[in-house]
Amino acid sequence: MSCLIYVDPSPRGEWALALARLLLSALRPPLVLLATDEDVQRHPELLEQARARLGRAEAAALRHRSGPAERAIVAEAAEARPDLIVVPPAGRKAIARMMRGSRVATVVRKVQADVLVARRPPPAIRRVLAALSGGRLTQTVAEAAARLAGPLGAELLLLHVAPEVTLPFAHHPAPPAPAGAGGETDALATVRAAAARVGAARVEAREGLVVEEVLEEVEDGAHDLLVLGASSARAAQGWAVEDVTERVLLHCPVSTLIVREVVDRTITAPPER
Amino acid sequence: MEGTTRIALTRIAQVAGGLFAFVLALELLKKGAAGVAPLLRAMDVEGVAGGMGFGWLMACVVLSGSPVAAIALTLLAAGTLDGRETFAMIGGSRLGASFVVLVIGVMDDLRNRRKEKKSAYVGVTALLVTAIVYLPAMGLGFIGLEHGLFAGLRLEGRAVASLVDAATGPLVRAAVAALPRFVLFVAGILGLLGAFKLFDAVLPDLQARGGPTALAGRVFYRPWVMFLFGLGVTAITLSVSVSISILVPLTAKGYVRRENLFPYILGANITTFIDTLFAGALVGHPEAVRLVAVLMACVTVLSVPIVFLFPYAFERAVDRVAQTATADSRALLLFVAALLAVPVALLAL
Repeated sequence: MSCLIYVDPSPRGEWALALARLLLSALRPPLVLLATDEDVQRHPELLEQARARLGRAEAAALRHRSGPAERAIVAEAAEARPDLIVVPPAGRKAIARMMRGSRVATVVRKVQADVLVARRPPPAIRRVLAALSGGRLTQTVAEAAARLAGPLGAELLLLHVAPEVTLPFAHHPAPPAPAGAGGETDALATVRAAAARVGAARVEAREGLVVEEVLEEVEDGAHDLLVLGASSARAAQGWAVEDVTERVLLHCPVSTLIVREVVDRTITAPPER
Repeated sequence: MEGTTRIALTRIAQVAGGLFAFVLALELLKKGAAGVAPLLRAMDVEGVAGGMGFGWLMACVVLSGSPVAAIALTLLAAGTLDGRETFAMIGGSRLGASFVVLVIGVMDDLRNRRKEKKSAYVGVTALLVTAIVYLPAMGLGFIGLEHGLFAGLRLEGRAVASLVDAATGPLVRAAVAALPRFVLFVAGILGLLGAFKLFDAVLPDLQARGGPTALAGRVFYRPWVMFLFGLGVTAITLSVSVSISILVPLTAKGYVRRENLFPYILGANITTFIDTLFAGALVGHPEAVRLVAVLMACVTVLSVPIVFLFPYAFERAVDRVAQTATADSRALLLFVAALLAVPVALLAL
């Protein structure tokens, strides 16, 4: 039962700390603050300042490991097994990202915890968007989003994007797995069922390219936080399959929580009564 | 086992029949090409615009691009069209074939009374992707032709000429003696369509097959993977519209993810020329293969950067236009009408 926060000396590091304060203040989980050896050498007060910034002196362990950041985070995550990792993006531009890869994408691919990618946080989180495919993680993601939105008093919207188009020439063209009344698909019906289980969340269905539609909704709806399911192992490891989660993550302007299937949800689960 | 052998023998017979029909049709078209010269003059099929417009319209009439590209080469061999006009007609045939996909998509939506124009979306995407690549590729091709690109590529199929003559000579000579040239030409067109039908019939029943393409309706493949699928499938089917129709059984439920569509079409648009190259080698004109190879190379040169360097920006742009064009019936009707006017306008130029 712990949360790992990567402390970056750049201004983006402040995003991670501010977001952690915003989201975790109600839960007050044990924290691990991690920095790289190189950053600690350059800024010896880095971790102490971060702990003070969080106001959690009693429950925040300080660690440092040799960099680069992604290697340090993955190694610490393998050892400490946190439920949640909060990490800011490295801010690499397209060419640097092509050469060195993306920090957040590497972390998301390699750790077994939920990952909260911290971008410039708003003063308060009022609107949370959960993008749901209707697949196996739908219920898990909807629940995680509801658990975050509830204590914050934020409005939760569940979004499902249908990317399928019907091919002409089909002798018996079928819409994708129709189910229920009103021509709804199985996937959308699954999303609606998840919405019903987590309470009063609104559901919106869109048609189009998944990445574009999700990002458009983030902007149009002025959402403060996006919640997504982690890619399937096939997408994360397969050379042929596109990783939709990673593409959304890299282009999303707001903080994004990537929810995994098998995680001990002591952080994102409601506190025991 | 017996059943398998019978199926294999039937397919071999169909391939042989298809090849014979293809070669015979090309010979008939060559002999009859002079008979359509007055018609082409009456339709103002002259110059690059005329060739392109004629190729586009003819693909709409015969509902496929490949036969029209082969016909263009026979018109070149007969001296009815020059190299530039033939090149433009081949390019126009591809645009016309994509237009056919659009019309079929629109009709499919109408027949199934779909409010969302999901089939028309496929057609609009096919046409947009083809136009975006082919129009500049044709421009690039004209420059290449003028500067001697692939000038050494002169396959005339002399090695097989005697074989072709032995196989089809008596029939062709009898037909030439008995039929007017225009009728020969029409018989040639019908022969080509029959040949492609036979080739299509040889394709295995993919309905029950698995494989990665079967998941194209659910799995989001990397663009270059779908590009390779498009290249591969069309190399076998020889026609983009057939290749897209092949996706229907492959995807089992008859739908495909939008993200998988455009790279598949880009790949299909390249290998759809394989049969045209073959036809170029058979028609006996020294420039025929070169024209096809230049267009094929230019289309490849323009497609590869799209797939490998900026696939998502391209996907976004195409999707935006396709969504706008298929937003409602009125928008779609306007889009189709405007595109139908293009080949007519080209012929009128």
